[in-house]
Amino acid sequence: MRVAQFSIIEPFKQNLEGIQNQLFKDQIRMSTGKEIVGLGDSPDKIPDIKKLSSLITQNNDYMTILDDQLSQFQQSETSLQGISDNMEKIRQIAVDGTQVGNMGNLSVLANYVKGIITDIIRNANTDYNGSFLFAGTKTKASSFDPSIPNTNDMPFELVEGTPTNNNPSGLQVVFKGNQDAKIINKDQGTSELVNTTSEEIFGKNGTEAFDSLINLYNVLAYRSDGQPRQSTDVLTTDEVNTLNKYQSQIAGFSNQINQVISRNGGRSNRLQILHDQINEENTRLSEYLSTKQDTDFAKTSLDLSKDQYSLQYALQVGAKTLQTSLLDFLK
Amino acid sequence: MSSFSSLEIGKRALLAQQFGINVTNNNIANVNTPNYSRRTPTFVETDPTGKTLGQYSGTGVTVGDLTNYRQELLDKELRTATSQNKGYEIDQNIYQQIDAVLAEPSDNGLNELTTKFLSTFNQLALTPDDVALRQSLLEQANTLTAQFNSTANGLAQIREDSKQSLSQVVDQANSLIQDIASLNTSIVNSKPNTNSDAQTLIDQREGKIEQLSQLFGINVTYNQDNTANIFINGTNIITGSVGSQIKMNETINNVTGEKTLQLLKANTDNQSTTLLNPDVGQAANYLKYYNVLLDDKESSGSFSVAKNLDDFANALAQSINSKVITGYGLDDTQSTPPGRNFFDPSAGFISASQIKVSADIANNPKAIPLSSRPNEPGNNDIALQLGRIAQDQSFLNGQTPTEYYANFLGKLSYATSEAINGYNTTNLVQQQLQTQRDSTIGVNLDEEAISLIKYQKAFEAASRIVNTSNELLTTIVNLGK
Repeated sequence: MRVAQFSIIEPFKQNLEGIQNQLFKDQIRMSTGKEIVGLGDSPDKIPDIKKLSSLITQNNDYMTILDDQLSQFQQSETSLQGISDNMEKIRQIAVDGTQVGNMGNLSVLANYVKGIITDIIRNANTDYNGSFLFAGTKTKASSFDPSIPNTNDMPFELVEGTPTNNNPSGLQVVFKGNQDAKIINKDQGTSELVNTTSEEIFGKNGTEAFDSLINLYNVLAYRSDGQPRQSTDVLTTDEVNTLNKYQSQIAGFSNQINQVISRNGGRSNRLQILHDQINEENTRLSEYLSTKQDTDFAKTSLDLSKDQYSLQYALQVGAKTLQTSLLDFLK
Repeated sequence: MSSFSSLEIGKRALLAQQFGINVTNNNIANVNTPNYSRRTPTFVETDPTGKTLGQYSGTGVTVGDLTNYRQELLDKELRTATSQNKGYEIDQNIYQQIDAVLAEPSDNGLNELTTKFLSTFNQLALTPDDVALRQSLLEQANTLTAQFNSTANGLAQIREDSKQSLSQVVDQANSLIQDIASLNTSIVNSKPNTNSDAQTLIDQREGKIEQLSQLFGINVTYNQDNTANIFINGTNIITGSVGSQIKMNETINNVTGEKTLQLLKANTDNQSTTLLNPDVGQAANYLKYYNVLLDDKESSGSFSVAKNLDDFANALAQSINSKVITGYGLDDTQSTPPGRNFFDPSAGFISASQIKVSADIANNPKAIPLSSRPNEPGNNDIALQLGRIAQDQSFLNGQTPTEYYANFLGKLSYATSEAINGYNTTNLVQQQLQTQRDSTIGVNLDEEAISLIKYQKAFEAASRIVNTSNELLTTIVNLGK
């Protein structure tokens, strides 16, 4: 074929441009670590990369949620354990009150019980990062109305009402929250109930256990005629029986709380297992994503060297090809 | 035959070889002139006159013709390849611009921002009363809407640039049409026997036609008088010395507001027009970008980047608004929902260029309605639903947000790849055709150097004829002394 001057120059220019482009892409691949540097590089991989990276991001967020929920469970368990322990203490006091040697200290024991009831309420008002744990969906102080007979904006409150024959102390625990469930999205497709309601802990309306505790307090603090006990007072047989009845009720509530702790422990275990599964899934997904989008450094490095040589040789050959013609040899 | 005949033969030889040197010089001078077709003189012996000593000895040489090597078939093939190549070249540039506007592929594109934004609702479902997390959600929403806005504006800018480019293409085409028609006239008027003039004009016209083929896919037919007729997808725009002007026209659909560009050929009556439908070349592609690919109101069902983006923004905004509108914020105590949206505009289609965080919540994270009942800060019913949008198969066209966006990017990616491959392939074809044509019409300096030597030597020999004739004549003149 006849070779014209244009036939040498134009293809040479274009080939040089091609090598330079390739070299440029190799350099970007090396510096970014990504195989795909433009949308047109690998159309079959782009949708997969996007879906995989979204899935990994979502999984990471689910793991954060699970971590946070596990901490909440821990906090919740600590509080519930505290409540259960305090109920056991009250039961023990009730047993102690029936002992002959302690008969003279009934009012002291009563005051002790009252103090423990206050501690139980403090535990029941536990919050996690400013949100009450056992008040249903009324998790903030702003949800509660502190008007009479309530005096504060906490979900559980011990209020002193008018004394009656049945309740000579007039003490009453008010629950201002609700029994609504709290559910979280724990992974791509499933949800989990995560909160503990006041009814699960304290029985009906979230106060039944407190009624038993206050009734027990009343037996220790007041005589059957409603008058406060004197240091010489002793319990009658009927009062001992009543005390045992309340003590037995409290034991039932304590068991109920232990069951809730156990159930929450089960939930916690499930979430921890799920967390670990998601973590493993993310490891696999990340590896898969890496095979799709990350550069093979060994290969790219070789490509880079190859293209650098190509460019050098192209320039050398070009310089030699372009510089001579017969005209150069004519005198 | 007189004694002066030798001088005449010498003179003719000198002139012919001089002409050869000039043609060669011209070839060398135009070695880098695009579309220049090399020429070589064809020498012919001059007609015989009378016999000398009973025989014809010849009368010398003259230039019979100038051979040029242009081949219509190669020109035609090259024009077709050029039209396709230029189309793909523009495609490649446009898709690269779109990639840059979408900031893809990256780890911080719209997909990542949307995923992160929707995931935050799941975190808020855990602690719906966390004001700091609510504020973080607002920040993410602002980042997301800003990305939607800038992407949509970027696409709109590319669309406007396409319109400007098309306008320039039309101006350039009109100028070329004028030049080609004018060259057609000059070719007809060039003297029939001075082919060199016509050839120069033909070369120039071919150059113009080739430039026009970058702008439009064209068909060329030649008349007997060497003039060319040019057609764009079947519509005649140049007939001999008459060229038609091309006009750009924009129409607006009154119902949808969709803007469409058209190219029209102004007919010779200067009143009526004929619609041009270019199929390849730069003009066809700019029309495609403006009318389809970047048209946010595209209605033909073809793939439109701008419309896909708008649909995505709208689906996201509507799916969130439809849920939060029934919800309550942290401080809402009234029984009737306050009716807040998450995204504005509150009514109608929410396009990517318009989407923004609603003024109802923009400065008050507590107002984000995530509860299904009043005065229940820990209620996460709405947040739970919003967190599930990421897995909602009915989000848009039977796909989740990520699936939709990934498939959208996939389509764009295939189109980009096709543009790159198309450019590379047609570039190769064009390069091969160009080489093939250059091997025929192009100038080879070595070849021309040889010709130069050849004509130089012949010129020197012819000058010897004159010298010898001169000496002969001198001898004859001195015979009588």
